[in-house]
Amino acid sequence: MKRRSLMATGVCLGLALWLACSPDAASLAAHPAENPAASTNAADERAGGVNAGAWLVRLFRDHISAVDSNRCPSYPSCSEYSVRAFEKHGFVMGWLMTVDRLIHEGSEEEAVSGTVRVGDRLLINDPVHNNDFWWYRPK
Amino acid sequence: MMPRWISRVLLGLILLLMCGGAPGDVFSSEVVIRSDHQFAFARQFLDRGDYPAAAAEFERFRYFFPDDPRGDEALYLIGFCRLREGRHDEARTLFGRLVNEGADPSLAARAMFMAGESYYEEGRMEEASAVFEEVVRRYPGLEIKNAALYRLGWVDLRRDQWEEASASFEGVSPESPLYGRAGLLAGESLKGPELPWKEPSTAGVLAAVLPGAGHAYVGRWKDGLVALLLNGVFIWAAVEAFDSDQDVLGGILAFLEVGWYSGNIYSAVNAAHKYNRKVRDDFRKGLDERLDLRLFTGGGGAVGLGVSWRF
Repeated sequence: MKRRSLMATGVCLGLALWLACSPDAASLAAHPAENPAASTNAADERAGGVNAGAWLVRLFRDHISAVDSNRCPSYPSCSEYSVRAFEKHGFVMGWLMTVDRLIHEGSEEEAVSGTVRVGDRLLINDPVHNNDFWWYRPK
Repeated sequence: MMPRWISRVLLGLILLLMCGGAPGDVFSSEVVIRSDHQFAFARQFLDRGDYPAAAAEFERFRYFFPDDPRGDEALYLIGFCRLREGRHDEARTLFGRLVNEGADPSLAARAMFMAGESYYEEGRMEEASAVFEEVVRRYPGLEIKNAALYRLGWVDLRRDQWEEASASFEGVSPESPLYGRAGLLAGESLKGPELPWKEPSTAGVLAAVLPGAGHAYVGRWKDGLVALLLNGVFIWAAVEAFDSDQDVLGGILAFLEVGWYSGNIYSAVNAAHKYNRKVRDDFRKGLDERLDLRLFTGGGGAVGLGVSWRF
C-alpha cells in the first residue's frame, strides 16, 4: 500500500514538475526590450504588491528554472506569467490563472492567441490580460 | 583749411551711408514669413505624415500670427497630429478647447468627432460611443454626422451589438460618400448573431463534472487530456496517501488537487471566451473599418469624407 502511495505521489510530482519546469522566466524577463509591446503590458500587470504566490513562484524561477533550459512556448514564460497574475489578482485568482496557463500552453493556444517574436523565437502571445479580459476591467 | 567742395562731398557721403544703411546690408537678404507661407509650410509636413514637425510648425503659426483667422484650424490640426502620434489625452484636450471655446461649428463638429475617434483608437468604446452620439445629436445638418454614425456602427460591431450596429450604418444618409459602404456593413452586421458560439457556462459545468470535458467542448482536445490526466493522478495520489495513513501527504496532495480542479474549470471557461473572441475578431477583420482621417483635415471649414479600400 505504501509503495503505491509513493508511486502515485512520484507521478504527481513528476507531472507537476514537467509542466512547471518548461518556463525559463529569467531569460525572457531579463530582456524586455526585445518585445516593447509586451513589456508595456507587463508594466500594467505589475500593479499589485508582493504576495505569497508570487514569492513562491519567484523562488521556483530563481532556483529551479534558472538552471533549466528555455522550453516555454509562450510569452511571457509561465513563471513570469504566474508572478504577474499573482501580483495583479491576488493569491486565489493568481493560482487559478497559473493552473490555466499550465494546462493551455500547448499548440491549441496558438490558434486563438497569435504569436509574438522574442529574439529569434516565435512564441505564443499569452500575457495575463489575454486571460482575464472577460471578467477584469482596469479602473 | 579744407576746401569747401571736399567738405560738401564728405557730408553727402555720410548722408548717403546713413540713408542706405551699412555696406554689409547690401549683401545680406531679409526673409519675411507671412502667415500663408507658415501655414502652407506646416501643412506640407502634415501631408507628408511628419506629425511632430507639422504640430511644431502649426504651434509656430499660432505664436507668430495670433490674430490670424486660421488659428482655430491650426489648433485643430495640432490635435490631429497628436492623435496620429498616439498622444490621445493631449489630442482630446485640444479638441475639447475647440468644442468648448466657441470655434466655428464645422470645426467644432470635426474636433468633437476626432475626440471620439481618439477614444475609438484607444479601444474605449463606451466613451467613443457617447461622443459620436453627441456629434449626431448636435450637428444633424453637417456631413460629419454621417461619419459619426459610421463610427458608431463600428463601435457597436466591436461590442458585438449586431443589430444596433446595423441600425447605425443604416442611419448614414444617401447623399454621403459613406452611404454605399455603410449599406454593405448594415447587412453584414446582421450575420453576427449567426456566428459560432461556445457557451462559457456550459464549458465550466462540463469541466466541473469531468475535468477536461469543458476543453473538449470548446474543441481543445489536447488541453482536455492534460486536465484529465493531472486531476486523475492527483486524486489517485491523494486517495492512495490517505489509504496508507499518510494523512499529511494526502492533505497536501488534496490541497494541490483543489487548485488543479478549480483551475481546470477556469481554464475551460477562459477557453470558451477566447474561442468566441477569436471567431468574432476574424469576422470583423473580414469587414473594412478603415476611415481615412486625413480627409477630415481639409482647410476652409469643408469636411471631406471617404473610405479607403482594401485590395
